[in-house]
Amino acid sequence: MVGRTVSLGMIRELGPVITGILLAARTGSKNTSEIGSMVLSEQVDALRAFGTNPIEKLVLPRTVASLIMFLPLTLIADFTGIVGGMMVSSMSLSLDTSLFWKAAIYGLQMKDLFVGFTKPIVFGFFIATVSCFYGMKTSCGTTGLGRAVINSVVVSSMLVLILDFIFTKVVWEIM
Amino acid sequence: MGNNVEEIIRFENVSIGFNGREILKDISFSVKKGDTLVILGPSGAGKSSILKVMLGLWKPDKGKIYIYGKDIVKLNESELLPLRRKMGIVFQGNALFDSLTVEENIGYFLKERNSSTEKQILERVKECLSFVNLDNVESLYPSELSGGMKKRVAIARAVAFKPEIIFYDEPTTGIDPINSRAIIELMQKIKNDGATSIVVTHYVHDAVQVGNNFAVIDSGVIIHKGILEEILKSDNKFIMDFFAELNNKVNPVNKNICIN
Repeated sequence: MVGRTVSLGMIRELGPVITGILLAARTGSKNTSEIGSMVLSEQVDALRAFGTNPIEKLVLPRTVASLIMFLPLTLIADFTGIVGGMMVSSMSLSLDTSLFWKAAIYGLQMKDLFVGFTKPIVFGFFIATVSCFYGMKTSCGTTGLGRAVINSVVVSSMLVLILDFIFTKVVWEIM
Repeated sequence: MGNNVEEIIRFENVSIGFNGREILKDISFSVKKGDTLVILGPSGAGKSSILKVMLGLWKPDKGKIYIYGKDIVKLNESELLPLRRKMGIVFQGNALFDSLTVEENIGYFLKERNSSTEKQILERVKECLSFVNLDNVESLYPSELSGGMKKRVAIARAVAFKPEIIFYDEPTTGIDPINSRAIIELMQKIKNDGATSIVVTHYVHDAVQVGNNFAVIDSGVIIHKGILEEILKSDNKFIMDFFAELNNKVNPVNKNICIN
């Protein structure tokens, strides 16, 4: 029961949500502050003025990178979480580790894996686009940049929680 | 209207405002091929706004802007790209990409246009750096350069792909007199190469050295336009004040500044 609960909790909910919130803070704030300071120092205007599409150069690569990297990062978080659960159950509850792994692996269903592996991709897309949007909309100097970063992190984190609920609910009702 | 081949840029009654405040009011002027138009005025008069509207970075609230006969107000971002590729701009704050080296900054838009090989781009970068009298700075980042050097790199980047129109936004602001002189000389060189230039500045001395047409702007309104001799004869109080020191130092016939 412990192995199943830990793996289910990590893969379906905790892994994607914690990784999503961490990345909303880390990658989201980085995207917004980088693009925002480029907007303030007229570097984005320079791209446009010289005939280059800033969305293609600044937003698209960040979105693609998020789509590619959020899943492996979530897998690492899932694995680390399950290993942590195994260590705690082995040390505190004196559970057999092979029994733990057996329950952790066989307790999972296809839809658990589907939900757990699709969420990071969806979160990655929204975190990247929201953070780039706030970066591109930055105005009013350093105060404005600070505000843009805060808005980006808050909105991305809230979106992760809301999308997590919607996604789980929809998939559970369909599958 | 706007189809005249000689006329590269034409503003017709352009107005723009933000938050209920009108920044440009009924601006009209035209620029012919090979001309250097200097837009002069005090800080906050709307000079840089004219450049932003001209580049299509800001859409005017009313009026028409013809560049090569096309009304750019009606064009969307992707339709503007080919027109913008004929233009180069030197921003007031230089707008160099701070994560790229000098070489990468100058070569960036050459690569974007896919018109040259890696070797040709490197050669062109070297050529541009020698044009602006900078050596051994290829591998430096903008943060490692002085203000004057940054401005020269910005000019090198703007001329790298041989634009037909070049815009300068306050090219000598915040630069020491020696570097200012070097930048003015570069602008004269670019002008002599046949490029059409639009220069925005509040330095009257710099303006008379590069311009052959002038527009004086105050509070978003062009109060006088024409050649220097006409402007110096104006009895408008603002123009007389603005050009006060120059009136005694310039010989309007050859525009040479007389040293007291």
